[in-house]
Amino acid sequence: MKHAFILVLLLCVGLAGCDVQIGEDPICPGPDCPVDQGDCPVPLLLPVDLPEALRCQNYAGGSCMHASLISVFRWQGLHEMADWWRANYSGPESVLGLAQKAKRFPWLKYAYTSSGDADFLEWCSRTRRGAAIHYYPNHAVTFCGYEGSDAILLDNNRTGRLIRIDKSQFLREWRGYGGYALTVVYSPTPPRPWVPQH
Amino acid sequence: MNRHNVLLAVLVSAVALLGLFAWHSQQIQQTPIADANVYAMDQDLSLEERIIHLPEDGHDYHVSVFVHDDWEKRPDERRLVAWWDADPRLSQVRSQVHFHVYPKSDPIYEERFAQYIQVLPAVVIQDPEGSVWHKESGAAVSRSANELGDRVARIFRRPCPCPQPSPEPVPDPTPTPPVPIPDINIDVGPNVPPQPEFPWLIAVIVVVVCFGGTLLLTLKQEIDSA
Repeated sequence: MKHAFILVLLLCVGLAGCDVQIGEDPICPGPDCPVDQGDCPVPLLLPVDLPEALRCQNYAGGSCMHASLISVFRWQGLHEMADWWRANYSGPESVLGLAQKAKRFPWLKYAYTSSGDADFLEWCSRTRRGAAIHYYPNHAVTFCGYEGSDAILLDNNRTGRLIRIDKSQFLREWRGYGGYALTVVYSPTPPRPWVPQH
Repeated sequence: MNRHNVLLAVLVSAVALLGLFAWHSQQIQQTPIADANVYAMDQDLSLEERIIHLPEDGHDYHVSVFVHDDWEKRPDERRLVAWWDADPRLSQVRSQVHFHVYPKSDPIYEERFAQYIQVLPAVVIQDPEGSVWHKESGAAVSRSANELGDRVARIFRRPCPCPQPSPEPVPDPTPTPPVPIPDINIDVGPNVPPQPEFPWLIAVIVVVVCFGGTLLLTLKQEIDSA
């Protein structure tokens, strides 16, 4: 009888506690490797490989969606826009709210989906642009693209490391959180430079 | 096996199933907050459907021009930047690559390139994987748009030594062949976020495991005590 109750307890705890799988940081050769090494072991790093110093942390007590977009701005070279956005917008926000704000800038090229369109995220990854997305309960993160069978996320509450989640699980959960994503359409930062032995 | 054992197994399975239901309803309850926001926002946004052409430029090269912060006051650097607009060959290349101008104080330069490109001005051409195919800096920078155009043209004509993936050699300064741009339907209309479906398969497995496990445990206890 005692074992049965323990079994029930473990099952309940296990079922209630499962959220997302947070794995190890993606394997990459590190910031010092690709420069002038002659034979970079990993030619292509993450689609969005924003230097840690430029990753926007959550601010003003809860501006995760804004922070997620600011990292996307910085990755695509819009530093002035990132600073302006950081100074003028804060607080809870949705992707549609971002789109509404972005609409106020006629020159700003942006694109978003509100229908859980996985092709949009594929494009964000394939073209290395990343996106601000709803993910986790009442939270938003920066989608850094796919690497192999994993999705890579940058959480503005813990910018020191990236989060790796199985792609199918990520897509299922992303749609569960509404399937929203927004990005801007500018040139992404060049990959880390390295010189092959021609 | 007596009736009590079976009842206990049924009880354990029911509790596990209830736990699963509770977890699932918790998942569903997380989305209505977003739903409410969506509905409110949609009322303000235009309901027209928009088709946006998204550039399929993930395999484009990167051309980066690194200059001093006061590059507009330096005639040589101002010319170097202007050539990419004014010279027909260079502007054609520019329109088909990711083109960047990085002043020295740009955070991306400081964080990513400063250790590699220390003498300014500089022009660096990278393929989509980051491999540097061309770098000229300082006194070695091209002195005319024509000279730079020739150098750039040679870069994109050079046969590729890389294994995979590799840039394709092309007969003209075009760095990558034009790729058809697919349409992606980005709707701005009302939206109903998909709800997570109840995991019936997991529910069946949980019930079977709980029922069987409890029965086995209680039977084992009976045998042990006997």
